[in-house]
Amino acid sequence: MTKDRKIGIAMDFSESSKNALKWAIDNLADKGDTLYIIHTLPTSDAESRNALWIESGSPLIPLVEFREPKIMEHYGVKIDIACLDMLDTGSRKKEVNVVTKLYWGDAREKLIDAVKELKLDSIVMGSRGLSALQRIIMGSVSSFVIDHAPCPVTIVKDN
Amino acid sequence: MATGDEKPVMVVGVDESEQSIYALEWTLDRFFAPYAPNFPFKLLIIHAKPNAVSALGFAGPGIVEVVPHVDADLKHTAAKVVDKAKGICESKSVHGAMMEVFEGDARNILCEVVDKHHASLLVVGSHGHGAIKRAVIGSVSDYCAHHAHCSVIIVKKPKIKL
Repeated sequence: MTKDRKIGIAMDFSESSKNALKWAIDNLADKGDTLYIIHTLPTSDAESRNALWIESGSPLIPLVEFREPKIMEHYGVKIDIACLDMLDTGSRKKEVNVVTKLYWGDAREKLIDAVKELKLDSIVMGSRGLSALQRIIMGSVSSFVIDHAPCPVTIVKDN
Repeated sequence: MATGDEKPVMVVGVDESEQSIYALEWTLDRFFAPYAPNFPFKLLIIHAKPNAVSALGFAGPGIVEVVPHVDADLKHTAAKVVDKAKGICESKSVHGAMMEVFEGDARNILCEVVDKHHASLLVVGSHGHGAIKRAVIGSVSDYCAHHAHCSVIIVKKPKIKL
């Protein structure tokens, strides 16, 4: 009775978010689901060619394009081999679709926007492991997402 | 340290709220029901019963008389929560779930249980309090998300039907 789910994964190419991706592929992904890799770039990165997408984020980028350094260069994203390998193997093994969506702006807000716009069934993210004081000063992306996301949120720790 | 092929442990924290019940049902639907009878996780359902004295929140001469009543009421609520959780497991044909009730603060209890059983996953509901309530009452889900030594899923009951 599994219906095709949309699982969002917050990706900043850190170890922690790659762990989150691995966890999601191993434990959450089922045949027919779609993994949405959400990556947020700072607004300052948005040059004129990306200005079109500041408002609502980039179009959905399929995995075949996400692999191409030339295509990703247009968006200002450096490809990460480990991440691509995981997506490649995972998508084949679990028979899931993989798309990427890029946003420009504050990661917190854009992750919530992504959940609402893409109607994600759940979102998976890593945790920077900041202390309580650091979270107050620097701000915690995971706390914000837990607070505001209208869907289940998974915080993956690296044990 | 784990010998043999023991299943990974999943801890689900429940209280008497609707959101908790929804979280338990979501977990069973997602991680247990489709895999019957070989469930991929060992399920441990935890209820943290507030301590009567801390629940009252005031001190004074009158407290001695009130505590037994509050305690009895809390025990009654805890029993209802356990029964409800058992009922939900039965209705989804999930057998073998362990249930435990502890007394004290949910935050600490859940994190301790995770450590004690080397759980790989903790699932909690979310009351969906606003920012001010969270600052005053504190958020169990936020605390657990940052302090539990395993991955944490915070399940929200959707406000809008999609």
